[in-house]
Amino acid sequence: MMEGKIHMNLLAGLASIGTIVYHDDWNIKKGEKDAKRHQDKIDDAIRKNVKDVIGSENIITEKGKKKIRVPVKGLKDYRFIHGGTGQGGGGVGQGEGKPGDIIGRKPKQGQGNGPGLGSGGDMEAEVDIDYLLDIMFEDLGLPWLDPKKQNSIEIPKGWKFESISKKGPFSRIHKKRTMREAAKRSILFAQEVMSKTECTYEEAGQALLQSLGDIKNAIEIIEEGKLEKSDSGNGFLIHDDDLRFKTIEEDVEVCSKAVVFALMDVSGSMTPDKKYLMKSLLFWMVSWLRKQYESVEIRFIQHTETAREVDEETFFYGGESGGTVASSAFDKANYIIDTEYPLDEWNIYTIYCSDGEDFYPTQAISSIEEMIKKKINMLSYVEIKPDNDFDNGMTYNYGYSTLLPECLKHWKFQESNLSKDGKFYINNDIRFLLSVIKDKSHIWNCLQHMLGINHPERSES
Amino acid sequence: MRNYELDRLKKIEARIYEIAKENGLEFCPIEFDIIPEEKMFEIMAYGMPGQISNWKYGRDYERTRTIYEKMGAGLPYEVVVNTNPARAYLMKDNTIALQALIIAHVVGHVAFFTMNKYHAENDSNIASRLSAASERFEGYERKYGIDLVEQTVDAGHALMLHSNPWLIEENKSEQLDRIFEKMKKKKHDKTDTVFSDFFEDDSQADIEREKWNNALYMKLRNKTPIEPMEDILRYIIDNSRVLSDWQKDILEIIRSWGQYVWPNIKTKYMNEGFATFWHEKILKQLFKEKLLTDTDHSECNYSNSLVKAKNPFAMNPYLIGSVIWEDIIKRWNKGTHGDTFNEIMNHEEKINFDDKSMKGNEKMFKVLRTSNDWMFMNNFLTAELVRKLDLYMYVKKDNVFVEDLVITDKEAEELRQIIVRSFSHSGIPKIFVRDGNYNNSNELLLIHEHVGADLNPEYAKKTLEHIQFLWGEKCILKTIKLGVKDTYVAYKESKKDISFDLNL
Repeated sequence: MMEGKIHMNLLAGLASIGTIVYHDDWNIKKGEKDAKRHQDKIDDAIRKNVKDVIGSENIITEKGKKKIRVPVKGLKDYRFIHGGTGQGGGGVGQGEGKPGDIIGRKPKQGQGNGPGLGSGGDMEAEVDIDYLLDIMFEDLGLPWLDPKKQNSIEIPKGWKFESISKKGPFSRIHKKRTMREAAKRSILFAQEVMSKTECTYEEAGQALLQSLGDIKNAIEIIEEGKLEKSDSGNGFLIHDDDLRFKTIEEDVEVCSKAVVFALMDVSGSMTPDKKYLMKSLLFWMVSWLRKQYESVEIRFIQHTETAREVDEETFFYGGESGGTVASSAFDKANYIIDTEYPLDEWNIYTIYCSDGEDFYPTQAISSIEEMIKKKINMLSYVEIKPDNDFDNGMTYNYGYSTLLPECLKHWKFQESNLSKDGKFYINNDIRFLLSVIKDKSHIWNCLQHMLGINHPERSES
Repeated sequence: MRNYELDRLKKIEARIYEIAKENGLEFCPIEFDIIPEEKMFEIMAYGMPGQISNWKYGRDYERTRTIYEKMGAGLPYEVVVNTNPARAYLMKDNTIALQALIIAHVVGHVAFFTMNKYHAENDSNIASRLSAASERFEGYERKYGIDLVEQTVDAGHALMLHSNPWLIEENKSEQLDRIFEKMKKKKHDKTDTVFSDFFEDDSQADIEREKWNNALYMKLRNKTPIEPMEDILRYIIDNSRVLSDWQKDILEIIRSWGQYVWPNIKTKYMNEGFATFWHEKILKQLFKEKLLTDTDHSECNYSNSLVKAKNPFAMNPYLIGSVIWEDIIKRWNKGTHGDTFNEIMNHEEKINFDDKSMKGNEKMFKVLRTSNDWMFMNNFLTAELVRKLDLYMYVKKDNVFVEDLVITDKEAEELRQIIVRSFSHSGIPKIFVRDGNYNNSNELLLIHEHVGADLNPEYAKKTLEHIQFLWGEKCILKTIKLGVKDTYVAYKESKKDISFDLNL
């Protein structure tokens, strides 16, 4: 006869019931250990794929989120599977659908032709935005930051031991200083007792120990002959007043005040693709600024034919359309600078994003010229060109852009060879930077161009 | 679980075995462990006690735990380890009703393992071999570093399904002899006609024949592998010049694990369907005998509905498998199958047909013993069932920002054929080692036999990287298909970089 038995494992209380066999060959720590290893591999993959992570769609679409889901490449169970290009992404399902029904929808992922459902798509991991900022923007900083009359930007540098105080938690007691204070006081007290009673130093010390540091009491003890014989001799008491503590303070580097103007073209020619690239770039820029420079001010301006200042929420999540007059945005920024940000007190940065299809490029140039004349710290124009092929750089086609050719005509730029992904120009004299980006993966290069600490072509003043 | 509950469960368990046996199921003894939920997640991820350590298992463990935390209790988790005695697991906090469902389901699985011919050669020592290996591998991690061990394990995992237990295992000289004899026979059977005596005298013919044989033997002896070899891991373990002994140890173990997994892959739908069919049947009987209460009944129904839920994106083997089994029994009981039935043109007559042959059970056991999923689907997934199960095919369609999955208008019969085709060779591409000394420079040439579906290029490239790591020299994978030839190449440029040329 075959008899099945139910064996109890880990339920010690039931061990008295008949036929119990312990199988303890499952080592629970293995799951935890291997899960940790997997997590490490995810972190590593994110680090290696910064460019892809930066362009990840849902960073913009999931507003107000502290954590985002990012695609993680290269962490799949690779083996030979079917499903060539064009064959992937389909499958057989079950349910009450009719032909033509949409049963699933997800945002498009990167360029690659990874397999869709059925053969396991790209893995996704949930990551903290702050963590991403930390690993991705290690080498960025506001360039050409000048000392101004008033300092207010504080850049946190960690913690440091600052001074010694009489109060604090015992975990931060400064032993050496405390003992020194106690010794100093003990000697003074003993001398006082000695001078009053003409006893020896040892007797004074013993009396003070007996009186727990009270001088009057100590004198009485000696005068009344209550001194106890003791070998402990030279000990001394630590008075509350002797305690010394280390204080720690946030170590900050104090810099001048700075304001960043984020200007964005939301006109009709800005297709969803362009807006996505632009918002993605500005989103990372703003998140990084907020994290790195706590007190930097950021002003958001969007324009069509006219410009208006908006709050961050509207800037990133609102939509608009209309004609394109870039000068309106620069005029607006110029006006705000003139009225609110005196140049001897403020570092001023302007970043403008557009597809460059401007109605009045010469007018825009004169507004930009006016801004440059103010000698602001940096002006950066990022042109978004997702539709144009500029991989064959020689025959780069500016499309309908009027603004970039006009800029290149009006000022002299040095073409940066920072990266072949994207086109980057720099004019060190007027601190004017141009970038042309086509693809999500160019966002990272563009940020390096504007804010990279080790930018090879930028002359620091 | 309290004492009285355990007593009750034991009674139910004993009755489940009896019911199963009354119905003709044969099965080896089963040992159940009652375990806390974390352990269950681990068992599900690792698949076997003593499984080796790897990040993939950690990932699955984490995933199962997350799903459980989101979905809450009531999920009918079950794992059966296919050894003798079989091992199975019950979650500590499950209700009696759910435990009964799982025990009945497990009995179905174990009967399947015991009776199905594809499981006849199961390695019953696999659990203890894995467990011992797991300890050795931990030692390797300390000695050679986790990265190198992991790289070896990952490469082994990538190839483990290219070594199924039904391939002939022989050493090189056995293989040489077999092929030599085969080719010799083929050659001489052709030339030895009744007329050959008229043209040459015997001794001359013998000398010629001997010469030819010798040349063939020399040629075969220098060939590696002598004939295209499907067991990629076997070939690499035996012939790679860069693998250390400890790496070979890892690959051998993973190859065994792959062979253990194969029968399960080959019979997944049959097996899950069979277990589901039987747990439903057994539970029904338990209710009838009042061993389960009305409360238990509703709990069982809920859990059963989760097991058999329709998945809009994938086929549910529990549902599809059990419905096919039910259909087989029904059709063979009524005789609604075969040519005589199919030739009936009258709709009314067809619907009411019943020859009372009652061959359902007999047929079920016959199919159970001899079939695998491909045969099961090909023979018993009818167009009728495709419609009944609401199966559809969907494709990915690109929109501006999103990818939509849209249902196609495939007819039931066409869909039936697509589904059946996907079960050929259990969906695993046919790839052979063709030459281990390609270009006369120890390069490894692999051939992909194209049978209807392309390889996924991303996966092919990455898998070739794994092979290259184990082989040490340049690896080439060619797809053979009329008109089109895809070629992937993996080779080491420096110690770190591996680059690829696609479509050479």
